[in-house]
Amino acid sequence: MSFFDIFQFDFFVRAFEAGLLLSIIAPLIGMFLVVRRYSLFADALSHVSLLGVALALMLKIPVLLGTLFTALLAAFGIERLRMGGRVFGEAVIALFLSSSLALSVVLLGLGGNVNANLLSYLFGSLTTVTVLDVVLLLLLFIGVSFFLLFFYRELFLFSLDEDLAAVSGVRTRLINGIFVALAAVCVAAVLQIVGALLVGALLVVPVLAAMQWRMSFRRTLFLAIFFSFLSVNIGFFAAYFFDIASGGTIVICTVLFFLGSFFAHRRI
Amino acid sequence: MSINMQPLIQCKNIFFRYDATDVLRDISFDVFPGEYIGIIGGNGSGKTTLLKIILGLLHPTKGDILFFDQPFADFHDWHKVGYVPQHVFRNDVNFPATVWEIVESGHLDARFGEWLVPGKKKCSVVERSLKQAGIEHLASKRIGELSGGERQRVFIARALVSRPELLVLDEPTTGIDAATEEQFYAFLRTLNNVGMTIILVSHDLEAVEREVKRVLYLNHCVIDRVSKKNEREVVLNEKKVSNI
Repeated sequence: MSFFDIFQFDFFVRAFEAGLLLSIIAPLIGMFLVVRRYSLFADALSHVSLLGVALALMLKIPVLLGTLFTALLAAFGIERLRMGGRVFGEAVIALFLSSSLALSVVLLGLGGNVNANLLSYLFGSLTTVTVLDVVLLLLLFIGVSFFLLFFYRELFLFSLDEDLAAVSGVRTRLINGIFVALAAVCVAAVLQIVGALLVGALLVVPVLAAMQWRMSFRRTLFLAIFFSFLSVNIGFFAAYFFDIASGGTIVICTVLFFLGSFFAHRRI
Repeated sequence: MSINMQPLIQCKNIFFRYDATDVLRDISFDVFPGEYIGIIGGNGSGKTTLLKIILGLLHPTKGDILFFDQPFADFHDWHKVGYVPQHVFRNDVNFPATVWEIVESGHLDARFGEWLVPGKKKCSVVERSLKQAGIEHLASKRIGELSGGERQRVFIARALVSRPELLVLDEPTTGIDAATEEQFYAFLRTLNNVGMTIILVSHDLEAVEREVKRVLYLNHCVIDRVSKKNEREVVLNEKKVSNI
């Protein structure tokens, strides 16, 4: 079978389209999570999305609806608790992460679907990407791009210092609310492709790799997209040709980019 | 100070409580255009809280504030205000931003998509601010590569981009050496001499008393006393005469 023959399979074309969109969206969101020292936020949301999977399977509704609902609810819950200041930011994330994972395992167990469905949502699968997933990712891509084009300065300032942003006229709550909602939708949308355990890595590791090159904010962002794009493509093809897990392969690629950048920069 | 001049900030009977603890009690003062005010006090005296209330970052438990003659809910002219927060100098050295990008973020009326291609007007105001703060040679450096004094100038340059009428600085000399501190105060004097109103919060009593025109002394949640520069100079001269 030649390299291009794999595009005759509908499921691969869908996965490829979703992967391309995802490789751009993930670092755009991840960049602002990393610089705000909020990298584990995506991990917490992905674990909460697993709860959405469990609920959707139990209630027999589309999985995407379940993951979107729980991810959005958790995102705003985490922010509410964090801003309240009564619980530390990392502790809030740990609370949501472990409690939602525990709840989803129990619910899936009660429904008798543990072995059948949990693994594909934990580690991702190319074959589960639907047309609806691709459409949702396309809408998300448009939403994230427009949000950045309109509010880049606000997001940058907010990442630098929240007080500084507020005194510069930035409506910090609104901007943070939109950003958190986009992050939640992003995690829920890519859960099936990369898997709940690996979503966080895809958002964060390409950004960390790009940051090793010590460039400007804009260039770091573009380099992170480049690393992410290459990782997703290499991961997809490697997963298909060598019959290995797509999510894991993509994340291993991002880690290799990180290690390469880390050591290359040390040499420079 | 002209009696007819409208204050930039009016604080009337400000109280602030956190849980069951009084942080500020019955604070009242005005800030007039062109003033150079220092707010000093020890750790926990409430000076940073007062500053945050002045800037609308915290809401007082009781009392009123008029900011440029408006309540905060109606105030939108943030380009009139330059703010240099306390911890921003000690930001993570890995923050991936250049000096240019940080100064540019002070330009408040950026257009759609301007972050990709900055307009000519924006470039010229950023260049002007970099020059004004004497850091144009650092424009392409990353913020994490700079010394404490240089970072401080970067954030002042950022504050100057929008040509503010009021510049507010929170503990700006923390962590910088004596020579840099002297240059920094000289720079603030220059800004004040061209009419910019400056509020400086610090625990460095000696430097603030030497530099600013009016000092508000915060002690145990209240303004203990207020002194003006000419009054302090009279006291200082009297001390010198009595020593002789």
